[in-house]
Amino acid sequence: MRRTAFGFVGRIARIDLSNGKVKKEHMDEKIAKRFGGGVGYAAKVLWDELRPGIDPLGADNKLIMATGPLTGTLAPNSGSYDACFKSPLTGVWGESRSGGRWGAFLKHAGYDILILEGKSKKPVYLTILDGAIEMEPADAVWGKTVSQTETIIKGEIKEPGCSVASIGIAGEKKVRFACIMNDLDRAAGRCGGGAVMGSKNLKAIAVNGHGDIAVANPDEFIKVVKAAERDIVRHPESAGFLSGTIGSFSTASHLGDLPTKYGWTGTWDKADEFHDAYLNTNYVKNRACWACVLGCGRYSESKGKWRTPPHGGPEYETAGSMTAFCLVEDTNALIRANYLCNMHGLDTISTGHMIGYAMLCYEKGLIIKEDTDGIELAWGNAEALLTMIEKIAKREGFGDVLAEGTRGAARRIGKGALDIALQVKGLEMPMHDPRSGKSLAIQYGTANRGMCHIHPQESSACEGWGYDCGLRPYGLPVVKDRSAENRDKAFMARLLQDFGVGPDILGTCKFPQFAGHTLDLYARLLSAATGWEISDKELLKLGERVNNLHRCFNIREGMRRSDDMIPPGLKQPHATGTTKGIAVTNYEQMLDDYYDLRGWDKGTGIPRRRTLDELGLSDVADELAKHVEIR
Amino acid sequence: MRRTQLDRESRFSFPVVTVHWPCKSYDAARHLPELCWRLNELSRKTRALGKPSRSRSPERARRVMVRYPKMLVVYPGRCTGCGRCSLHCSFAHEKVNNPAKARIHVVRHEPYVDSAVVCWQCGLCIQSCPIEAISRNRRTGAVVVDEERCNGCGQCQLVCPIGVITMDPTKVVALKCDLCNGDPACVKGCPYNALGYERPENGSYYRRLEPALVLGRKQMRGG
Repeated sequence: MRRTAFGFVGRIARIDLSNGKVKKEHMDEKIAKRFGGGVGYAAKVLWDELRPGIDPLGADNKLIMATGPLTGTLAPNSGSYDACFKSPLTGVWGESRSGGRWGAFLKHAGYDILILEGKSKKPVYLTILDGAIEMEPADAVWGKTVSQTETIIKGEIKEPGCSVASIGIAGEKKVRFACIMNDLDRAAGRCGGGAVMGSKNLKAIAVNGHGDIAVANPDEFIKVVKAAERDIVRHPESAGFLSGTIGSFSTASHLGDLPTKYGWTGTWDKADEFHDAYLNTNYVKNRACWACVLGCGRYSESKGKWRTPPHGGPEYETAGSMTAFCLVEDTNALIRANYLCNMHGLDTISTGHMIGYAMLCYEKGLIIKEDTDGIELAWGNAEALLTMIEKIAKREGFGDVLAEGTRGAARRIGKGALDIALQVKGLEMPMHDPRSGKSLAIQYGTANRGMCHIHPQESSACEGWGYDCGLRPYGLPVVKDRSAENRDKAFMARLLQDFGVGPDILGTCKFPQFAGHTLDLYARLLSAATGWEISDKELLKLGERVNNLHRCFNIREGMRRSDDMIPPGLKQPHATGTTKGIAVTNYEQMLDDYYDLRGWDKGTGIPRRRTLDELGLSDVADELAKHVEIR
Repeated sequence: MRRTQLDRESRFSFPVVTVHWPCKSYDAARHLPELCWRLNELSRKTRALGKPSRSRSPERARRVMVRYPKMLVVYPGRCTGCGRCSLHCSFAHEKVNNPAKARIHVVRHEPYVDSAVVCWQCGLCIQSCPIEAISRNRRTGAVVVDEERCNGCGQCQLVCPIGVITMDPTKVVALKCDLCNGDPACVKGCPYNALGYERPENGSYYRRLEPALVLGRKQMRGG
């Protein structure tokens, strides 16, 4: 890419951790135009450079920290970065977004993308200060919690204003759902990025910089930014975001969208009072990520037996998985659990899910008290929840079993434990239930990183939640019946996936999409920032191209149609609540429709050659044809 | 010799500019230049602060006060630390996205301190500048750095009591809030309404609220 790149900074740092060598490269503008930045560019790099079948926790895996062309600019909510890698939890494409300010600081320090290769012999951490990349020994911080790590590193390098992304003890112990934490409480949570970082013996990356991020057309850019700000601030949903993601706790419960007691039902009768109790006893203030217009971040503390210092969170997903999922009713326990996960660097969704899973196994008699080191894993046991989090992070005793994720744990437990697990491709179910909106079932089955509600996009949001994301002009159907299973739902899931991968490509947060940040605004922002002249339809196409590339990555790793199946647990009806009696019954038909709309082969789930050619992915198709038969 | 004096004691009084007339032993030839200077100064001040009227009614005074310089203030407790003000600032001044080139700064400190910090326009830097590159804009009340003349010596940065003067990393000149010539971009850009461009009586209320909150919190914790 040319020296004076716009939107992008135009530089990539390739860091070989085995020998500490840093190679600075220019960004390839052709790739950037085809796939955008963020997860698009990273997917292309991983597609080109990772051999299929490598060990995700070995030296061959690469960890890419990617920002997009809008990261660090005035575009709404532009503080993001995406960690992309081959996931140790699922064995396929792994991506994970985090907010905070780390991504923006990386661009100010002069790099769009970091490619971390190899494996260091000793624990190290990286400092990236205004373009200079140094590798420092991490003896002082190895084994420390995330907050200790940040404090020590900021002192060591004498940069009090820098931003640090680090792993906790869970990442060092290669817990398969360990996350990368940045700015104390922001997490690139899912898919086990922390374990990949830990496997490379890389403890932390501290960045700070004072460089410019220029845009191609400043006058147009500021005009679009102001229009976007106005639209978002005036949008009725943006007020809802001020009460945080946890503010939607009661609504989710009323919609039957809050999996309770390991998905036994979707409505938790304690949800309303739980949220009130949280606001009364724990809530401190709102805290926004970098350049955020919505400000949904919470800041909370707990007192009494489970006291914590004030810290970030909890989000809706954390609250759901730590409480309703395990039937724990104490808000202080939730805050403590969230605090422990943040300090140890654990993904709160998977951690809560695994403990709920253990509780289900315990109830069904698949594990007994001797297996669990004497911990009474009964439903609602808050003490057990907190103990298990510590044990998982340190891989002690039964925690070592749960640290393997649902698939690994089910293999260790045996006795058909995998059949009752709620997972797709090895990723645990987050806190949304497809029985409250059937397009989510398709999203869960086909999302490229596994059972995920938000990557590429939460399609149930457009059903029960009633968002339209400004997608009506692009054919988003009006949902009359949430429980219906038809082609509309498949179309909806597909459209939202292509739309929803946009922010990951551009390097912003997904939440403004719900509050008035339309596709048109994204396209105009991207055009003004990069000077590319890209329209909204082309941006949608770009999203489809990136989704297909991720899919091809998964196919090359051996994923087929059978891996897109939702777990049997979702095909059982909810026992109580507003969605009582509703189950996902016609999933295969919806999946056929989805494949049809995508242009993928119905029998195998492999993209057809014609589809890939139409998307301009002929080179990818050629490479894929070396490994599998494509029609 | 006191040449002029601003009387702004009372809330509703308009400014009175007093000129000490040299009545004893008046020598036109000797005093005329100084007199001219004083009259010139007087007219400049009255232009800047609103014309004094013959009527002293509060309504009239309030109408005059609309033209007073306003104050840029941070409303305590509303800021979430998103930093959009600093991005808007750097974009308005330099057409780039770079908080290091912003004149407004966002402090984010653990635990839970989020606040924008913005220049008070106190003017201490004016005297500190060895080459007189800093002056006060009479219309907006802003203390402005003349980028053409500034040589980046950093004296103003040393003297600034709240640390809001920084050095531009590329141009090596002092960066200081100039109130965007009376229309601050940060105020319009803040999504949480945490910044305000207030008339002095309200502005000073918010300005004294902040140290008061700090003091109050200290008292609550027992010292």
